[in-house]
Amino acid sequence: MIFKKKNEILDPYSFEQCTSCNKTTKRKFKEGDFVFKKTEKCVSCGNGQIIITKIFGEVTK
Amino acid sequence: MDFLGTNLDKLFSTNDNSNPLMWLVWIVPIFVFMLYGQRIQLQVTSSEINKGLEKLKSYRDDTRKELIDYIKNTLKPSEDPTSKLDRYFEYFTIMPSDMDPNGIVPKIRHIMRTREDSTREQVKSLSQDISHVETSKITNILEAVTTLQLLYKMVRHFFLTAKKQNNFPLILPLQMMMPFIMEEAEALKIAVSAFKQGQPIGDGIGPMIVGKMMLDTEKKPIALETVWSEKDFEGRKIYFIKAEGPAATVGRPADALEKILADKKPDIIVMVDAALKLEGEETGSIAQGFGAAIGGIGTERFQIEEVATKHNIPIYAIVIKQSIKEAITLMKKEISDSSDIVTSQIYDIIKANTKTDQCALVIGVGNTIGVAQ
Repeated sequence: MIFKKKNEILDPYSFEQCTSCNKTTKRKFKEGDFVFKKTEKCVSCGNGQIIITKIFGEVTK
Repeated sequence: MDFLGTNLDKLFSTNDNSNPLMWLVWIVPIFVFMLYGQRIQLQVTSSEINKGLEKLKSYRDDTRKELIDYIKNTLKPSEDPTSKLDRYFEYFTIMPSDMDPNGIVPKIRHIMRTREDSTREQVKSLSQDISHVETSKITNILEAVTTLQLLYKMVRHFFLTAKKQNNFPLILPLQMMMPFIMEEAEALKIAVSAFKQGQPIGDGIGPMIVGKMMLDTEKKPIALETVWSEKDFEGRKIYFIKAEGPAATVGRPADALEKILADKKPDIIVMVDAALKLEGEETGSIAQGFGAAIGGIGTERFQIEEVATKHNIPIYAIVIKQSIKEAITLMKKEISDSSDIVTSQIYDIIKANTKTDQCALVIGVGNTIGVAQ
């Protein structure tokens, strides 16, 4: 076939950010995650709240 | 005869009757194609469409099974929901008569809302302990399966009719439409997995942007599955409207706008939504424009335009481009990365088009699954 369709598979990730020190982490999506969900206290600065700021899919390589 | 150095007389042996086999090789196919060309083409096209039809059938059956298993595993209903669900898959909607189109929009809205409300109630009846978020997820998956069922039945109808009547022209439009139908069907199939897991979809970019702007404000319900809030910005007041997440809903932004306008008078309206990209455009690219950026059947857009015109409020739009598949499946990184740029563009529009002490209304349009506020 001249025009072969690519089949993309997306891996879901959750992107977290601390509201105080703005430290960001990217991890695999877990069931129950949603955008703007408050997850835990920040272990880096100790007083910030970690929230999920983005959930997105990246193409599997 | 000698064209460009080729001797046609030699090639076809026309000056010599000693080669009847060559004569047959050239003449017979011409007659065969003259008499049966359309039928041969019908057979070739039919086999391609048949492959697509088989795929559509497997998509419909897979998603149906996925939905039934999901309901059985999460809701644990006391009785088997299969027969009930099979009845829901066959639901249809009769559009109002348009012989006299005057006043047709409220009629369409009434019929569509009857369908939405009734489907929601039927999903709720599957289990007593079903949560609001779970109801919205199942309602969305049900819509996907119903659409796949409808696509399958329509394609099968045209295919079988063309074959039954040996009608080649009837199959041509179907052949042309098949790639688009298959793209939508594949998107619907993949969408089921995102809905089951409560992941944000590409269409949710509008609510995601407005949801972030609403963080740290007091959110109040204003219409069905719709919330609003307000905050101050450089001497101006901004009101926000979005569907109530993280449920899988688009809310009722037009009703919310009407209610806000009953006692507040925003000077501008800014709408943020996902929009279908043209082939060649990049996923996640942003465009600004004017007018009500809202999809669907058109009743919400009609209502928003009518209210804005009545109060003489300009409407500005920002759209984030994506394909139909990207709009209903897990949000791609390129789309989510556009959120910060769009946010700053919203503030720029507000600063450029309002003075201090004036107010703006920002509406995030789209399905807010997996996106709170």
